[in-house]
Amino acid sequence: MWIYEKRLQFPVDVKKRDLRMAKAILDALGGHDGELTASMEYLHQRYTMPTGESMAILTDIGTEELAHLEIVASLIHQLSAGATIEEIKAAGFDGHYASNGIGLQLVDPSGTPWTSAYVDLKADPVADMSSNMGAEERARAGYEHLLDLTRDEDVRKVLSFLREREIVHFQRFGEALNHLNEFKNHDRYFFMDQE
Amino acid sequence: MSRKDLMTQIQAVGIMAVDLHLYLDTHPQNTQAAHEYKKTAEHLKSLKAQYESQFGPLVNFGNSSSFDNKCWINDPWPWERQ
Amino acid sequence: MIYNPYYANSGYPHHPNTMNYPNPMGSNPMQGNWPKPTTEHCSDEVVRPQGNPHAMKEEIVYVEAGPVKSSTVQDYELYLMEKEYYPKAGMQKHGHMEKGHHHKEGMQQHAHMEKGHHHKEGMQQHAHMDMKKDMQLTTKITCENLPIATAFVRPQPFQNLNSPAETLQQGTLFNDLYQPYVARKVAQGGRC
Repeated sequence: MWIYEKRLQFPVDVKKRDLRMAKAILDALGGHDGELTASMEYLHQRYTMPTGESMAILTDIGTEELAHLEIVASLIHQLSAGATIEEIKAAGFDGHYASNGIGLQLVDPSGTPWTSAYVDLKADPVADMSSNMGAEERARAGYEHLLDLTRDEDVRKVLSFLREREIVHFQRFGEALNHLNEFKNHDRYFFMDQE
Repeated sequence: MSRKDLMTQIQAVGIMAVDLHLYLDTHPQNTQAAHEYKKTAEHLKSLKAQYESQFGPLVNFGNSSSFDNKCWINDPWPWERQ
Repeated sequence: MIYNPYYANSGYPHHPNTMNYPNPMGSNPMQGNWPKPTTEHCSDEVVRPQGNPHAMKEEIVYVEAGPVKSSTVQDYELYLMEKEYYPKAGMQKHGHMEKGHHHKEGMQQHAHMEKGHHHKEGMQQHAHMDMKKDMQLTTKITCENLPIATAFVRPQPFQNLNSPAETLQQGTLFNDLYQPYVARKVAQGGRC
Protein backbone atom coordinates (compact mmCIF):
# COMPACT_ATOMS: atom_id res chain seq x y z
CA MET A 1 0.00 0.00 0.00
CA TRP A 2 1.04 3.59 -0.26
CA ILE A 3 1.47 6.12 2.49
CA TYR A 4 2.35 9.72 1.91
CA GLU A 5 5.43 11.54 3.07
CA LYS A 6 4.83 15.26 3.33
CA ARG A 7 7.87 16.35 1.41
CA LEU A 8 9.09 16.45 -2.15
CA GLN A 9 11.90 14.15 -3.23
CA PHE A 10 13.66 17.23 -4.64
CA PRO A 11 13.00 20.85 -3.61
CA VAL A 12 10.96 22.99 -5.97
CA ASP A 13 11.32 26.71 -5.41
CA VAL A 14 10.36 28.75 -8.42
CA LYS A 15 10.51 32.51 -8.04
CA LYS A 16 9.41 33.72 -11.44
CA ARG A 17 6.09 32.94 -13.06
CA ASP A 18 6.22 31.54 -16.57
CA LEU A 19 2.94 30.34 -17.97
CA ARG A 20 4.27 29.19 -21.32
CA MET A 21 6.74 26.95 -19.54
CA ALA A 22 4.00 25.70 -17.26
CA LYS A 23 2.00 24.70 -20.29
CA ALA A 24 4.99 22.92 -21.83
CA ILE A 25 5.71 21.03 -18.61
CA LEU A 26 2.18 19.57 -18.77
CA ASP A 27 3.78 17.05 -21.12
CA ALA A 28 5.65 15.55 -18.19
CA LEU A 29 2.41 15.43 -16.20
CA GLY A 30 -0.30 14.08 -18.48
CA GLY A 31 1.59 13.43 -21.66
CA HIS A 32 2.33 10.18 -23.45
CA ASP A 33 5.70 9.70 -21.75
CA GLY A 34 4.99 11.60 -18.59
CA GLU A 35 5.24 10.60 -14.98
CA LEU A 36 1.63 9.46 -14.68
CA THR A 37 2.09 7.08 -17.60
CA ALA A 38 5.33 5.77 -16.16
CA SER A 39 4.00 5.19 -12.68
CA MET A 40 0.79 3.51 -13.81
CA GLU A 41 2.71 1.38 -16.30
CA TYR A 42 5.25 0.06 -13.82
CA LEU A 43 2.81 -0.42 -10.99
CA HIS A 44 0.47 -2.45 -13.16
CA GLN A 45 3.08 -4.56 -14.89
CA ARG A 46 4.35 -5.99 -11.63
CA TYR A 47 1.36 -8.28 -11.12
CA THR A 48 2.34 -10.56 -13.96
CA MET A 49 6.08 -10.63 -13.39
CA PRO A 50 7.63 -14.03 -12.69
CA THR A 51 10.24 -13.18 -10.09
CA GLY A 52 10.44 -11.26 -6.85
CA GLU A 53 13.26 -9.18 -8.20
CA SER A 54 11.26 -7.89 -11.14
CA MET A 55 8.24 -7.21 -8.95
CA ALA A 56 10.44 -5.35 -6.50
CA ILE A 57 12.11 -3.13 -9.04
CA LEU A 58 8.80 -2.28 -10.70
CA THR A 59 7.18 -1.45 -7.38
CA ASP A 60 10.04 0.76 -6.26
CA ILE A 61 10.52 2.62 -9.51
CA GLY A 62 6.74 2.97 -9.90
CA THR A 63 6.56 4.51 -6.46
CA GLU A 64 9.40 6.87 -7.29
CA GLU A 65 7.56 7.93 -10.44
CA LEU A 66 4.54 8.82 -8.32
CA ALA A 67 6.88 11.05 -6.30
CA HIS A 68 8.12 12.61 -9.52
CA LEU A 69 4.53 13.23 -10.57
CA GLU A 70 4.22 15.32 -7.45
CA ILE A 71 7.38 17.25 -8.28
CA VAL A 72 6.16 17.99 -11.81
CA ALA A 73 2.80 19.11 -10.48
CA SER A 74 4.48 21.39 -7.94
CA LEU A 75 6.62 22.86 -10.70
CA ILE A 76 3.60 23.62 -12.88
CA HIS A 77 1.71 24.98 -9.91
CA GLN A 78 4.49 27.34 -8.87
CA LEU A 79 5.01 28.49 -12.43
CA SER A 80 1.37 29.39 -12.89
CA ALA A 81 -0.21 30.23 -9.56
CA GLY A 82 -1.11 33.88 -9.08
CA ALA A 83 -1.09 34.71 -12.77
CA THR A 84 -3.10 37.71 -13.95
CA ILE A 85 -5.55 37.45 -16.81
CA GLU A 86 -3.21 39.48 -19.01
CA GLU A 87 -0.42 37.00 -18.34
CA ILE A 88 -2.74 34.12 -19.15
CA LYS A 89 -3.77 35.65 -22.42
CA ALA A 90 -0.25 36.65 -23.36
CA ALA A 91 0.96 33.10 -22.83
CA GLY A 92 -1.80 31.53 -24.89
CA PHE A 93 -3.03 29.78 -21.78
CA ASP A 94 -6.62 30.89 -22.49
CA GLY A 95 -7.91 27.48 -23.56
CA HIS A 96 -6.50 25.70 -20.56
CA TYR A 97 -7.79 28.44 -18.28
CA ALA A 98 -11.28 28.16 -19.73
CA SER A 99 -11.49 24.41 -19.05
CA ASN A 100 -9.46 24.07 -15.91
CA GLY A 101 -8.84 27.51 -14.47
CA ILE A 102 -5.32 27.86 -13.21
CA GLY A 103 -5.52 24.25 -12.06
CA LEU A 104 -3.52 21.17 -12.90
CA GLN A 105 -5.41 18.98 -15.29
CA LEU A 106 -3.96 15.69 -16.49
CA VAL A 107 -3.57 16.72 -20.09
CA ASP A 108 -0.69 17.22 -22.43
CA PRO A 109 0.31 20.69 -23.64
CA SER A 110 -2.18 20.56 -26.51
CA GLY A 111 -5.04 19.70 -24.18
CA THR A 112 -5.29 16.01 -25.07
CA PRO A 113 -6.49 14.20 -21.98
CA TRP A 114 -4.34 11.50 -20.41
CA THR A 115 -5.47 8.01 -21.26
CA SER A 116 -4.54 4.50 -20.25
CA ALA A 117 -3.83 3.91 -23.94
CA TYR A 118 -0.47 5.44 -23.04
CA VAL A 119 0.19 2.51 -20.70
CA ASP A 120 2.19 -0.18 -22.50
CA LEU A 121 1.51 -3.46 -20.85
CA LYS A 122 1.70 -6.92 -22.37
CA ALA A 123 2.10 -9.27 -19.39
CA ASP A 124 5.14 -10.68 -21.14
CA PRO A 125 8.09 -10.06 -18.86
CA VAL A 126 10.71 -9.45 -21.54
CA ALA A 127 8.37 -7.28 -23.61
CA ASP A 128 7.35 -5.23 -20.61
CA MET A 129 10.86 -4.70 -19.30
CA SER A 130 12.14 -3.76 -22.77
CA SER A 131 9.24 -1.37 -23.19
CA ASN A 132 10.05 0.21 -19.85
CA MET A 133 13.59 0.89 -20.96
CA GLY A 134 12.19 2.64 -24.01
CA ALA A 135 9.82 4.59 -21.81
CA GLU A 136 12.66 5.82 -19.63
CA GLU A 137 14.62 6.96 -22.64
CA ARG A 138 11.56 8.78 -23.98
CA ALA A 139 11.04 10.44 -20.63
CA ARG A 140 14.67 11.52 -20.56
CA ALA A 141 14.36 12.96 -24.05
CA GLY A 142 11.19 14.74 -22.98
CA TYR A 143 13.00 16.40 -20.12
CA GLU A 144 15.81 17.38 -22.46
CA HIS A 145 13.28 19.11 -24.70
CA LEU A 146 11.91 20.94 -21.69
CA LEU A 147 15.41 21.94 -20.66
CA ASP A 148 15.88 23.42 -24.12
CA LEU A 149 12.89 25.64 -23.56
CA THR A 150 13.93 27.53 -20.43
CA ARG A 151 16.83 29.43 -18.96
CA ASP A 152 15.37 29.81 -15.47
CA GLU A 153 17.86 28.12 -13.13
CA ASP A 154 15.23 27.17 -10.55
CA VAL A 155 13.26 25.30 -13.17
CA ARG A 156 16.34 23.81 -14.82
CA LYS A 157 17.57 22.37 -11.53
CA VAL A 158 14.35 20.40 -11.08
CA LEU A 159 14.17 19.26 -14.69
CA SER A 160 17.82 18.14 -14.59
CA PHE A 161 17.13 16.12 -11.46
CA LEU A 162 14.15 14.42 -13.05
CA ARG A 163 16.13 13.74 -16.22
CA GLU A 164 18.99 12.17 -14.27
CA ARG A 165 16.55 9.89 -12.41
CA GLU A 166 15.30 8.58 -15.77
CA ILE A 167 18.86 7.62 -16.67
CA VAL A 168 19.22 5.74 -13.39
CA HIS A 169 15.91 3.98 -13.97
CA PHE A 170 17.04 2.91 -17.42
CA GLN A 171 20.11 1.27 -15.91
CA ARG A 172 18.00 -0.53 -13.30
CA PHE A 173 15.47 -1.75 -15.85
CA GLY A 174 18.32 -2.95 -18.05
CA GLU A 175 19.69 -5.00 -15.18
CA ALA A 176 16.21 -6.35 -14.49
CA LEU A 177 15.94 -7.36 -18.14
CA ASN A 178 19.23 -9.25 -17.89
CA HIS A 179 17.82 -11.03 -14.87
CA LEU A 180 14.59 -11.90 -16.68
CA ASN A 181 16.47 -13.23 -19.71
CA GLU A 182 18.60 -15.40 -17.44
CA PHE A 183 15.50 -16.60 -15.67
CA LYS A 184 13.84 -17.49 -18.96
CA ASN A 185 16.89 -19.47 -20.05
CA HIS A 186 16.94 -21.45 -16.82
CA ASP A 187 13.95 -23.39 -18.11
CA ARG A 188 11.43 -21.83 -15.85
CA TYR A 189 8.44 -20.84 -17.85
CA PHE A 190 6.15 -17.90 -17.63
CA PHE A 191 3.34 -19.39 -19.65
CA MET A 192 0.18 -21.29 -18.99
CA ASP A 193 -0.15 -24.99 -19.60
CA GLN A 194 -1.81 -25.48 -22.97
CA GLU A 195 -2.95 -29.03 -22.44
CA MET B 1 19.08 23.44 12.36
CA SER B 2 16.54 25.40 10.39
CA ARG B 3 13.58 23.67 8.82
CA LYS B 4 14.86 24.27 5.32
CA ASP B 5 18.37 22.96 6.06
CA LEU B 6 17.03 19.87 7.79
CA MET B 7 14.66 19.24 4.92
CA THR B 8 17.50 19.60 2.40
CA GLN B 9 19.54 17.04 4.32
CA ILE B 10 16.58 14.66 4.41
CA GLN B 11 16.09 15.07 0.68
CA ALA B 12 19.77 14.41 -0.08
CA VAL B 13 20.06 11.34 2.14
CA GLY B 14 16.63 10.26 0.89
CA ILE B 15 17.88 10.18 -2.69
CA MET B 16 20.89 8.16 -1.56
CA ALA B 17 18.59 5.67 0.17
CA VAL B 18 16.38 5.38 -2.92
CA ASP B 19 19.37 4.77 -5.18
CA LEU B 20 20.78 2.14 -2.84
CA HIS B 21 17.44 0.40 -2.51
CA LEU B 22 17.03 0.28 -6.29
CA TYR B 23 20.58 -1.03 -6.65
CA LEU B 24 19.87 -3.77 -4.14
CA ASP B 25 16.71 -4.76 -6.01
CA THR B 26 18.79 -5.67 -9.05
CA HIS B 27 21.94 -6.80 -7.23
CA PRO B 28 20.50 -8.65 -4.25
CA GLN B 29 23.75 -10.38 -3.33
CA ASN B 30 25.94 -7.30 -3.16
CA THR B 31 26.97 -7.11 0.48
CA GLN B 32 28.76 -3.80 0.14
CA ALA B 33 25.60 -2.17 -1.14
CA ALA B 34 23.56 -3.79 1.62
CA HIS B 35 25.92 -2.37 4.22
CA GLU B 36 25.76 1.11 2.68
CA TYR B 37 21.99 0.91 2.54
CA LYS B 38 21.75 0.06 6.20
CA LYS B 39 24.03 2.95 7.12
CA THR B 40 22.14 5.40 4.92
CA ALA B 41 18.74 4.21 6.08
CA GLU B 42 19.68 4.65 9.70
CA HIS B 43 21.04 8.13 9.02
CA LEU B 44 17.80 9.01 7.23
CA LYS B 45 15.75 7.68 10.12
CA SER B 46 17.58 9.81 12.62
CA LEU B 47 17.25 12.92 10.45
CA LYS B 48 13.54 12.31 10.09
CA ALA B 49 13.12 11.74 13.82
CA GLN B 50 14.89 15.05 14.41
CA TYR B 51 12.67 16.83 11.91
CA GLU B 52 9.48 15.34 13.28
CA SER B 53 10.31 16.20 16.87
CA GLN B 54 10.74 19.84 15.89
CA PHE B 55 8.26 20.36 13.08
CA GLY B 56 5.58 17.73 13.27
CA PRO B 57 4.68 14.59 11.35
CA LEU B 58 6.21 13.77 8.00
CA VAL B 59 4.14 10.68 7.28
CA ASN B 60 0.45 9.96 7.69
CA PHE B 61 -1.66 7.06 8.88
CA GLY B 62 0.25 6.32 12.03
CA ASN B 63 3.66 5.93 10.39
CA SER B 64 5.21 8.98 11.97
CA SER B 65 6.88 9.51 15.31
CA SER B 66 4.88 12.70 15.77
CA PHE B 67 1.13 12.78 16.30
CA ASP B 68 0.49 16.47 15.91
CA ASN B 69 -2.29 16.54 13.35
CA LYS B 70 -2.54 20.33 13.51
CA CYS B 71 0.95 20.53 12.04
CA TRP B 72 0.00 18.05 9.37
CA ILE B 73 -2.96 20.20 8.37
CA ASN B 74 -1.60 23.70 8.75
CA ASP B 75 2.10 23.61 8.08
CA PRO B 76 3.19 24.43 4.54
CA TRP B 77 2.51 21.72 2.02
CA PRO B 78 5.43 20.65 -0.20
CA TRP B 79 4.17 22.31 -3.38
CA GLU B 80 3.53 25.71 -1.85
CA ARG B 81 5.97 28.49 -2.52
CA GLN B 82 8.33 28.71 0.45
CA MET C 1 -38.16 0.61 -19.20
CA ILE C 2 -36.24 -2.00 -21.10
CA TYR C 3 -38.43 -4.70 -22.51
CA ASN C 4 -37.48 -7.91 -20.84
CA PRO C 5 -39.21 -11.09 -22.03
CA TYR C 6 -38.69 -12.65 -18.66
CA TYR C 7 -41.11 -10.23 -17.15
CA ALA C 8 -43.45 -10.08 -20.14
CA ASN C 9 -46.57 -11.34 -18.42
CA SER C 10 -45.76 -10.54 -14.89
CA GLY C 11 -47.61 -7.29 -14.69
CA TYR C 12 -44.64 -4.95 -14.90
CA PRO C 13 -45.60 -1.70 -16.59
CA HIS C 14 -44.74 -1.55 -20.27
CA HIS C 15 -43.87 1.45 -22.26
CA PRO C 16 -47.04 2.37 -24.21
CA ASN C 17 -45.17 2.09 -27.49
CA THR C 18 -43.71 -1.34 -26.83
CA MET C 19 -45.04 -4.10 -29.02
CA ASN C 20 -46.39 -6.99 -27.13
CA TYR C 21 -44.44 -10.01 -28.24
CA PRO C 22 -45.77 -13.40 -27.25
CA ASN C 23 -43.59 -14.85 -24.57
CA PRO C 24 -41.52 -17.58 -26.22
CA MET C 25 -41.36 -19.35 -22.88
CA GLY C 26 -45.07 -19.74 -22.65
CA SER C 27 -47.24 -17.99 -20.10
CA ASN C 28 -45.00 -18.96 -17.27
CA PRO C 29 -41.42 -18.12 -18.07
CA MET C 30 -40.23 -20.56 -15.43
CA GLN C 31 -41.77 -23.48 -17.27
CA GLY C 32 -39.91 -23.00 -20.52
CA ASN C 33 -36.83 -24.89 -21.66
CA TRP C 34 -34.74 -22.29 -20.10
CA PRO C 35 -31.16 -23.57 -20.02
CA LYS C 36 -30.07 -23.79 -16.47
CA PRO C 37 -26.49 -23.21 -15.59
CA THR C 38 -24.89 -26.33 -14.23
CA THR C 39 -21.52 -27.14 -12.82
CA GLU C 40 -21.97 -30.87 -12.97
CA HIS C 41 -19.37 -31.24 -15.67
CA CYS C 42 -16.80 -29.22 -13.77
CA SER C 43 -14.60 -30.81 -11.21
CA ASP C 44 -12.05 -29.44 -8.90
CA GLU C 45 -9.34 -31.86 -9.78
CA VAL C 46 -6.65 -30.90 -12.14
CA VAL C 47 -6.73 -32.54 -15.53
CA ARG C 48 -3.42 -34.19 -16.25
CA PRO C 49 -2.17 -34.72 -19.77
CA GLN C 50 -2.33 -38.28 -21.06
CA GLY C 51 0.36 -40.15 -22.85
CA ASN C 52 3.67 -41.72 -22.07
CA PRO C 53 5.07 -39.85 -19.15
CA HIS C 54 8.58 -40.73 -20.19
CA ALA C 55 8.35 -39.57 -23.77
CA MET C 56 10.77 -36.87 -24.70
CA LYS C 57 9.13 -34.05 -26.50
CA GLU C 58 10.99 -31.88 -28.90
CA GLU C 59 8.59 -29.01 -29.08
CA ILE C 60 8.40 -26.34 -26.46
CA VAL C 61 5.97 -27.21 -23.72
CA TYR C 62 4.39 -24.52 -21.67
CA VAL C 63 4.18 -25.22 -18.03
CA GLU C 64 2.23 -23.33 -15.47
CA ALA C 65 4.80 -22.06 -13.09
CA GLY C 66 3.84 -20.66 -9.74
CA PRO C 67 5.31 -17.29 -8.98
CA VAL C 68 8.78 -17.56 -7.62
CA LYS C 69 8.62 -15.47 -4.52
CA SER C 70 12.18 -14.39 -4.65
CA SER C 71 15.02 -15.50 -6.79
CA THR C 72 18.12 -15.24 -4.72
CA VAL C 73 21.62 -16.54 -4.50
CA GLN C 74 20.13 -19.82 -3.32
CA ASP C 75 18.26 -20.21 -6.57
CA TYR C 76 21.45 -19.83 -8.55
CA GLU C 77 23.26 -22.24 -6.28
CA LEU C 78 20.49 -24.79 -6.60
CA TYR C 79 20.61 -24.37 -10.32
CA LEU C 80 24.33 -24.96 -10.37
CA MET C 81 23.87 -28.01 -8.20
CA GLU C 82 21.25 -29.33 -10.52
CA LYS C 83 23.46 -28.81 -13.51
CA GLU C 84 25.85 -31.33 -12.04
CA TYR C 85 23.01 -33.84 -12.03
CA TYR C 86 22.47 -33.66 -15.75
CA PRO C 87 25.82 -34.03 -17.47
CA LYS C 88 26.34 -32.83 -21.01
CA ALA C 89 26.50 -36.41 -22.32
CA GLY C 90 22.78 -36.94 -22.57
CA MET C 91 19.37 -36.99 -21.05
CA GLN C 92 18.86 -39.11 -18.01
CA LYS C 93 15.97 -41.51 -17.95
CA HIS C 94 13.84 -41.17 -14.93
CA GLY C 95 12.45 -44.03 -12.97
CA HIS C 96 9.31 -43.96 -11.04
CA MET C 97 8.35 -40.49 -10.03
CA GLU C 98 7.84 -40.34 -6.34
CA LYS C 99 5.67 -37.79 -4.75
CA GLY C 100 7.77 -35.24 -3.02
CA HIS C 101 10.75 -35.94 -5.22
CA HIS C 102 10.22 -32.81 -7.17
CA HIS C 103 13.85 -32.69 -7.95
CA LYS C 104 13.71 -35.43 -10.55
CA GLU C 105 10.39 -34.48 -12.08
CA GLY C 106 10.39 -34.22 -15.80
CA MET C 107 8.45 -31.78 -17.82
CA GLN C 108 5.44 -34.03 -17.83
CA GLN C 109 4.66 -33.12 -14.29
CA HIS C 110 2.86 -30.10 -15.52
CA ALA C 111 0.01 -28.85 -13.66
CA HIS C 112 -0.28 -29.31 -10.03
CA MET C 113 2.00 -27.09 -8.04
CA GLU C 114 1.75 -27.77 -4.39
CA LYS C 115 1.24 -24.76 -2.29
CA GLY C 116 4.30 -23.68 -0.44
CA HIS C 117 6.63 -25.39 -2.84
CA HIS C 118 6.76 -22.59 -5.30
CA HIS C 119 10.19 -21.54 -4.33
CA LYS C 120 12.01 -24.68 -5.30
CA GLU C 121 9.63 -25.94 -7.92
CA GLY C 122 10.69 -23.73 -10.76
CA MET C 123 14.25 -24.83 -10.24
CA GLN C 124 13.49 -28.53 -10.21
CA GLN C 125 11.28 -28.40 -13.22
CA HIS C 126 14.33 -28.95 -15.23
CA ALA C 127 13.12 -29.38 -18.76
CA HIS C 128 15.09 -31.73 -20.84
CA MET C 129 13.98 -30.57 -24.21
CA ASP C 130 15.88 -27.37 -24.00
CA MET C 131 18.91 -29.12 -22.62
CA LYS C 132 21.02 -28.43 -25.68
CA LYS C 133 20.18 -24.78 -25.75
CA ASP C 134 20.69 -24.66 -22.04
CA MET C 135 24.16 -26.11 -22.30
CA GLN C 136 25.21 -23.32 -24.59
CA LEU C 137 24.23 -20.74 -22.06
CA THR C 138 26.12 -20.51 -18.80
CA THR C 139 24.45 -19.35 -15.63
CA LYS C 140 24.92 -15.66 -16.03
CA ILE C 141 24.52 -13.66 -19.19
CA THR C 142 27.67 -11.66 -19.83
CA CYS C 143 29.05 -9.66 -22.72
CA GLU C 144 30.91 -12.76 -23.89
CA ASN C 145 28.08 -15.28 -24.02
CA LEU C 146 25.24 -12.96 -24.97
CA PRO C 147 22.73 -14.68 -27.23
CA ILE C 148 21.47 -12.86 -30.30
CA ALA C 149 18.15 -11.04 -30.35
CA THR C 150 18.61 -10.17 -26.70
CA ALA C 151 18.95 -6.72 -25.26
CA PHE C 152 21.61 -6.39 -22.61
CA VAL C 153 22.69 -3.62 -20.30
CA ARG C 154 26.05 -3.98 -18.61
CA PRO C 155 25.50 -4.38 -14.86
CA GLN C 156 26.68 -1.39 -12.92
CA PRO C 157 29.58 -1.98 -10.51
CA PHE C 158 29.14 -0.63 -7.01
CA GLN C 159 31.64 2.19 -6.91
CA ASN C 160 32.16 5.96 -6.89
CA LEU C 161 29.47 7.01 -4.49
CA ASN C 162 28.62 10.66 -4.07
CA SER C 163 28.39 12.59 -0.83
CA PRO C 164 24.92 13.81 0.17
CA ALA C 165 25.55 17.27 -1.26
CA GLU C 166 26.84 15.84 -4.53
CA THR C 167 23.92 13.44 -4.65
CA LEU C 168 21.45 16.30 -4.43
CA GLN C 169 23.32 18.31 -7.03
CA GLN C 170 23.80 15.46 -9.50
CA GLY C 171 20.51 13.69 -8.86
CA THR C 172 22.04 10.31 -8.17
CA LEU C 173 24.22 8.55 -5.62
CA PHE C 174 26.35 7.02 -8.34
CA ASN C 175 28.83 9.31 -10.01
CA ASP C 176 29.11 6.79 -12.86
CA LEU C 177 25.51 7.40 -13.81
CA TYR C 178 25.82 11.17 -13.85
CA GLN C 179 25.35 12.40 -17.43
CA PRO C 180 24.73 16.14 -17.43
CA TYR C 181 22.84 17.69 -20.31
CA VAL C 182 23.95 20.67 -22.31
CA ALA C 183 21.01 22.58 -23.69
CA ARG C 184 20.64 22.97 -27.41
CA LYS C 185 20.27 26.41 -28.90
CA VAL C 186 18.73 25.08 -32.08
CA ALA C 187 16.28 22.17 -32.19
CA GLN C 188 18.31 19.87 -34.39
CA GLY C 189 16.63 16.90 -36.03
CA GLY C 190 17.47 14.76 -39.06
CA ARG C 191 20.62 14.75 -41.11
CA CYS C 192 22.51 18.02 -40.81
